[in-house]
Amino acid sequence: MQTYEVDLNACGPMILDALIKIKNEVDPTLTFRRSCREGICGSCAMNIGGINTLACISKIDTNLGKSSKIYPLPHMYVIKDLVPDMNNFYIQYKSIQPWLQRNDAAEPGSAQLLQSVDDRKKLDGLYECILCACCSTSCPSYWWNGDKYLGPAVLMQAYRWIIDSRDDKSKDRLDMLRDPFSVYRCHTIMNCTKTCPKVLTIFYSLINCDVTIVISQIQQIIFNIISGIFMA
Amino acid sequence: MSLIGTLCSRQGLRLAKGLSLQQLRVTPAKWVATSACLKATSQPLDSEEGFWDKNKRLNRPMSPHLTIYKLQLTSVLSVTHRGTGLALSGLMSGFAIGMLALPQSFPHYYTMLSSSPSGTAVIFTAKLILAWPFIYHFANGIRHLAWDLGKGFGLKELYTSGYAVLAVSTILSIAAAAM
Repeated sequence: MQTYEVDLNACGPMILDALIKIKNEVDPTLTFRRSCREGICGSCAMNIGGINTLACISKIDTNLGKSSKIYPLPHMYVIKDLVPDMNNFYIQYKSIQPWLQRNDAAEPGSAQLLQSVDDRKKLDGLYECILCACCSTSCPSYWWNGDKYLGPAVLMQAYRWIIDSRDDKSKDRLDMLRDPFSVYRCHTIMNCTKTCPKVLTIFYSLINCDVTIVISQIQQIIFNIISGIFMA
Repeated sequence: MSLIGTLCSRQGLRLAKGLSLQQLRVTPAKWVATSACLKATSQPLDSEEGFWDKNKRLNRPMSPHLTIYKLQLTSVLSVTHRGTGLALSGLMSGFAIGMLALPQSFPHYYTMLSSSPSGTAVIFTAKLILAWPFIYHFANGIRHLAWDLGKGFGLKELYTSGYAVLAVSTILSIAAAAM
């Protein structure tokens, strides 16, 4: 842990402003990720004052009696200073195949895929996710099972494709999640929803993944029973 | 105004960054080593080595988690639910096994307890300690059932229902202990 003092009168209002000021004027070796400085890229996700958030939209506490403590995202391998290795997170994101999949063999871009207003509405609160990993790294279950549990951010993206009316592979997507770890290590701790810098209701999609899987499992069982009866 | 300004600038704000001990002892040679690591990671992850092996080989430190993450109502209620669940099931089995192992039957110990000379305050506290975990677990269990129906996931609902569970379980367990 290293301490820096920053003159607040000559610094922007946000934590990221202070970090950039320190890097420019005090310690050029201080390493952190940043890009858009307006809460849309998700690069500067870190643990500030005990809570995961984006440095660029987190105001500096002007109480001069207290120092602000900044850590990298929790329970991550640290490459340097505030830069964690995000590769596991990205591999997990890739594993849910986050792209549109259709049964028809139509040339991509040859026609518009229309969607009703209601179907489009289902994507609100999901597509806004910037994959900053604040939620996943706030989740104790993800800390202990990050190798096998996908974590809130990736599950929310899985759900985003499952409920997209234009995607034809909902069943395959659910089948991919059907194991004891991918979804079911969620213990409804809800730190994800609390910490999300974009104020998304992550949990809604998690439980819906859960419910959709259970429903499709029941359908499968009923289907098996019925087909069993016909076979006999 | 200028006086306040100067005072503020003199005191400034202390910003601390998380650093492992290893990185604090940075020598020039080590610094070169760290920059080399940085360069390597800007390339896509080598699929043969994999994420876990690579991080272990490079001996990268794990960022702090449980010890630095601020307690949230969400996580505190969750861990309390688990704790009370464990305690209650332990109590149930303990009570059952204890009753089998003890020489006398339950009514005997019950009369012994109820006729004991200890004050009402002690009895009240003991009852409260027994009642609160049960009622809390019960109330929060209903909250869990609501979640299973897909309801109450907004941040506001989470906090309202959380505080409601705390209030209800405290009031009901005090009432139960007073009986």
